[in-house]
Amino acid sequence: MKLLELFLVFLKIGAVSFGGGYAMIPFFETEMVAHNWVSLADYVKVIAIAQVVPGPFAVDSSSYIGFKVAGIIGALIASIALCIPSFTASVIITKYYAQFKTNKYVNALLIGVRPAVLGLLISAAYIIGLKPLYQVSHTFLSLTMLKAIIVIAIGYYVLKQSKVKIGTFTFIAATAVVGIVFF
Amino acid sequence: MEVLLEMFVTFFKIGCLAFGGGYAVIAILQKEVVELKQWVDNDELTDIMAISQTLPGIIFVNSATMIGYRKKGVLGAMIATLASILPTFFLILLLTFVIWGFTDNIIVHKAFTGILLGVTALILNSVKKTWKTAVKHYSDIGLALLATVLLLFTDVNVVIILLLLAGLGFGKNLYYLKGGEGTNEAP
Repeated sequence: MKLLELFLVFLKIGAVSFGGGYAMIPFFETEMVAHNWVSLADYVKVIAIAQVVPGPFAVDSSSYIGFKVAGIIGALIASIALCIPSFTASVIITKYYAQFKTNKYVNALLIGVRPAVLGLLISAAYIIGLKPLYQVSHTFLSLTMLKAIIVIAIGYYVLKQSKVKIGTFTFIAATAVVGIVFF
Repeated sequence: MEVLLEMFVTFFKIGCLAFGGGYAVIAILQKEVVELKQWVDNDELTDIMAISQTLPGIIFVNSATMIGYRKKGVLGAMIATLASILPTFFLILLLTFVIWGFTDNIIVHKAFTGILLGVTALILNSVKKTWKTAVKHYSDIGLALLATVLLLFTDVNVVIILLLLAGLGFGKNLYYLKGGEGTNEAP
C-alpha cells in the first residue's frame, strides 16, 4: 500500500513539475510533509549533500524520500514514477514534433505556465533558505535571519558577476566556509 | 543491441559528469552525443533542449529520453532515461548513508547552513534567468506575483495553484493568439 501511495504521489509530481530543477522543491516539500515521510530539516540536509552529487537533484530528492518510506525498492519506485509522465510526453512530442510546434493550444499552455514557474522558484528559495531557520527560532526578527539574508544577497551578487565566472563547486565550497565562520 | 549498450554507457557516463544542473549538461551532451556518437546533429540538440525545458520533469532526463527515442525508438528511450538517473540514484543514497552520522556535528551543521544559503542564491539566480523567457507582457508579472503570493501566504495545495495558474496563462495566451498575427509566440 505504501509503495502504491509513493508511486502515485511521485507520478503526480512528475506530471505537474513544469520548470524542472529547483521549481520542483515546493512539490516535494508539500507531499513529504503532508504524508509525514520526511521532515524539512532532514530534506534540506539531502539538498546540501546533493550539491556534490552529479545529476538532476530531483532524482536526489525522489531517491531519498522513497528510501525513507520503503527502502531501496521505495527509492526506485519513486524515481521511476517521477520520470514516467515526462517520459511519455517526450516520446509523443518527438514523434509528432511538426504538429506540436505549430499547435496553438500546446503553445498557449507551455508558454502560459512559465510565469507560475517564477512563483515556484521564489517559493523554493524560501523553503531552502529561510524556512529551516524559521522552524528553529519561530521568528524572522533574529540575528541569524539577518545574517542569512545578507549571505544570500552577497551570494546572488557574486553569481551575477559576468566578468569573473565562478564554478558551482567553488561557489558551494565557499558557502560552506561562510557557514562555518559566521553561523 | 550494440547501440543500446553504447547508449546506456554514454548516458550513464553523462549522468556521472552532470554537476550543476540542467543547463550545465548541454555542453556535455554536445560533446558526447553530437560530436563523438553523432546520434543527433547540433540543430536537433537545440530543438531537443528547447522542448525539454518546456515539458514538466527534469531537463536532462527529458533530453536523454528524446535522443534515445530518435535513435532507437521506445526501447532506446527507456535505456537512455534509466541510464541517466542511475548514477544520481546510487550516489545520493550511498553518500547520504556515509555522511548522515556526521550531520549532527556542529561544524558540519554550520557548513550545511552556509551551503543551503548558497543554494538559495543559485535559485534566485535561476529566477533571473527564467524571468527572461517567462515575462513577455506585463500580465505575466501579475501571474507570477499571484503564484508567489498563493504559494507563500496561503495553505492552498501547490498542485492546485499550478493548475490554476496554468489555466489562467493558457486562457490569456489563447485570447492574445486569437487576435495575434499567427505567430506561435504569445505576447
